Amino acid sequence: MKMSRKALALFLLPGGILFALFALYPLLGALKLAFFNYNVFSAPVFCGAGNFAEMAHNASFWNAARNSFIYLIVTPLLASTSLVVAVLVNRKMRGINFFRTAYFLPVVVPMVIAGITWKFVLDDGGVLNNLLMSMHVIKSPVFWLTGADFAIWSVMFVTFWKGIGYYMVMFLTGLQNIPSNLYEAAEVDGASEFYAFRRITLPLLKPYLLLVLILSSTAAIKVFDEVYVLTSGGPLRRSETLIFYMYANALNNFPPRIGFACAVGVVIFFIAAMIALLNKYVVRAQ
Amino acid sequence: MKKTIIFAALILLLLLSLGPLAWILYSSVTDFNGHLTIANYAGAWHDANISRYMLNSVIVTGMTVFLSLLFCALFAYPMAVLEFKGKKLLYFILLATFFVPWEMTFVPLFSVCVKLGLDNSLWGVILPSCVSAMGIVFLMDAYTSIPKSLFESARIDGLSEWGIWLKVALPLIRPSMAGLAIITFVTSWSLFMWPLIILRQSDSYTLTVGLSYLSGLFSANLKYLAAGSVIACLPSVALFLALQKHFISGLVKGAVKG
Amino acid sequence: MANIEFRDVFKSFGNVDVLKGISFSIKDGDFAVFLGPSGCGKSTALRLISGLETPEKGDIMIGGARVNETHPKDRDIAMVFQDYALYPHLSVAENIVFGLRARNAPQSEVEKMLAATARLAGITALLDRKPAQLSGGQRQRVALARAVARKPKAFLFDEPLSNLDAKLRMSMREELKRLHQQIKTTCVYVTHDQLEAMTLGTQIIIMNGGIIQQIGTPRDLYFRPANRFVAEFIGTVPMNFFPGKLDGEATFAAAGGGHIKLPEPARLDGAASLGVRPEHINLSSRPGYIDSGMKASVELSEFIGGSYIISARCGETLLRLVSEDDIPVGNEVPLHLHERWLYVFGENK
Repeated sequence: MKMSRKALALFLLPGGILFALFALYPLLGALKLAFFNYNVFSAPVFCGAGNFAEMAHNASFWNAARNSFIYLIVTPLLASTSLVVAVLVNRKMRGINFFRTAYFLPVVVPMVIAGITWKFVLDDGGVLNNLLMSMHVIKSPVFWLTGADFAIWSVMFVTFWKGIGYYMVMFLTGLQNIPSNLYEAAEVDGASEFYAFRRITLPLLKPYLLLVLILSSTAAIKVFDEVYVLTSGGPLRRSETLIFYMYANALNNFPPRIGFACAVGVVIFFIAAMIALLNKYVVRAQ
Repeated sequence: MKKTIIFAALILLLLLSLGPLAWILYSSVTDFNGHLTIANYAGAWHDANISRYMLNSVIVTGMTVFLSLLFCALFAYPMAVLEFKGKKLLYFILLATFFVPWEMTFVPLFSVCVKLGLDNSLWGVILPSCVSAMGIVFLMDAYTSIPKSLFESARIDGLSEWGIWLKVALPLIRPSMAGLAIITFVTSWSLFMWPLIILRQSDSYTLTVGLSYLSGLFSANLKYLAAGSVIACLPSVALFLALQKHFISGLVKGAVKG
Repeated sequence: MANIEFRDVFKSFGNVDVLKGISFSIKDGDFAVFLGPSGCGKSTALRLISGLETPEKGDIMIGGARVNETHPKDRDIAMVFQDYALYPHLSVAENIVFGLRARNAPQSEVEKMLAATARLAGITALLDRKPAQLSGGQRQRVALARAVARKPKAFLFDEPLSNLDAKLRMSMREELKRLHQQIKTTCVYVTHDQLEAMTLGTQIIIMNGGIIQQIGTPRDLYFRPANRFVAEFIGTVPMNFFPGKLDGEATFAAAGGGHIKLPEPARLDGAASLGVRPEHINLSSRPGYIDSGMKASVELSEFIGGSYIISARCGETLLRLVSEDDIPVGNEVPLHLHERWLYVFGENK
């Protein structure tokens, strides 16, 4: 099938120009600038691997990296919890659709709003503390968001809360793709419900599990909105993850350290890629 | 016994999922003394500038969805249906950008936008969001499931390529377009980091940025913040409740293709 | 001992009554077949035996014990499903021993069982393959092997051959029959195909609309049908029915003009039908046959390889006859009916 050059151009050009300008060029630029010192006001200065070397010695960088790795704990938690929820809602019960809808609702809410909402709850003078104190579970407010040890976990919780419904739906699709007579055959064959779950359900859910693990771990690495709204990376950078670190270096600094930020970006990319591969191996091995 | 455990678990999860949202809703319709009122909404709308933020968000999301559908539908058509020189290369480039998260590129993206004069403009949010490799690949998939014979008979009937695209291909991929529209809508409406970076003046803030700004102010009226948050949720939630099935299948399909 | 008994069992799904008080008794070692059209309740009856469904009313007995409350896995029965229900992610070998592993059987027993059943089902060469790589017939054998490996008290078959092509169906039928003769375990088989039922069953339970129409051996059902439904259902080429009424207790007056002497007296009021099987109609005089006095006009002739199925019209009735020779369309043939195998049915039966 052929199309005239002119027609082809008309189809490809609008999207193509936008794509080249806003996706391709910045991508190449980021790769290039990682090796430069650039502060917007003067021309970029080549510095080789200088940015990377600096990163390796920068305590803040390692702090951010450590926080991001802690954040990755969200992934297995999300995967297992959403699987359990999916199994829970995968039954013919009157009104089960209501529950499914309700569990999916947090997914639709913008992350910033989720952050603001949970800030109301988790703030020092917020709903949770008030509730716990009035029930005499605690005597004084717990610093969910401002306490050095709690901060990052509170932010992780919000990511967790918002993600359950999303991954639940994926597992639900997987569960509903398993023919029901497999379970009947297993029942007649003498398998307990747990045995059937272990030997039939889980193996057949593997592709979905892989998908969920990759998606949620990538999201964990890229997390930004909830960090910004809930803690701004504090207190004392205890919840500053890599992307936030990158943002802070590039734009909250004066003068902005563009080259350095790009270098951080490159590192983040590699980490994300390796995690995706790791997930693949983990699921295969199962 | 088992039934009660299941029911209890369902209820607990329900509280967890909807609890905070219910709280914010409650917060937004009560004044500081606990009486029901809609004054918070009026206050948020006028005093806290929510009306402005809302307008910006509507413009941004509306244009993004429209342009995104248009450009992706245009671009994906020859990619899916025709053979031409350089197609494989284009496809490869497309896939390559897929794996790179945009968070890695926001720095040079910022400088591109500045050079084009797009900083602090709503178009600075709209244009970069318009074309995504995911959208293109998604629609390419939709085009390829149209039987070739339909194109051939249209060609024999004398339609130009444009005509074929407009009258045959486009109508047939409507469900996928709807799915893409939904994903794009939700993504664009919730977009935060990029508008935060590119929009400098509070007048051009979108809802997400505006509300985060509000929540960071010590002097902010929390009730207005609650009302504003509820307003910000409404479009996505309304869309979701109206189109539940399409919504979920669209989001899941998008992720699976990825 | 694995006799199976139903006592007055009722089963409904929502507002629909699928089984309306059925009772039967299957002896240990029997090959019992539930036969009937779609929706008659036969699959439901099978599922009640397996425990995958529970009845609203009535008792289900296996081996003399009431099992209504017993879980399927404790009933010690094996089931072969219509679409085989093989675990797609497991190999053939793992499929076969699934039940054994679920019960934590020792490895030595597992291996022994696997080898024996694979040999029995003729699939030793396929043990490492996955179900997706097998043909329909091979999957069927794996499903069978899986059931046999359980050494159950009884086998339940839910229309296992309906997904196979005709030739394969015939050879699998023979294998099942041989298997039953070898293993001598009670078998309960569900089918809508009367030929399968007749060739496989030692006892047939024929059902319609949730009610048992008749229970008996294949010969019972063929030669002594309890009602018109059974008479029409059994028989590869269906029975013919002549409308008319009784003339006294021993004669049937056909609407087409004939007077036929009945082998046994019958008591019916009003309109009736005389049932005669195609194989019991001769087209010329023959000892043991009565001249009905009716003639039929040939409309169609189908060659089926050893004989011809002739469709002929007698008055209002369309008949099917069997003939060794072809008969030209338009010919008038006399109808001589077998003097013994004649059945009279009333209007509502």
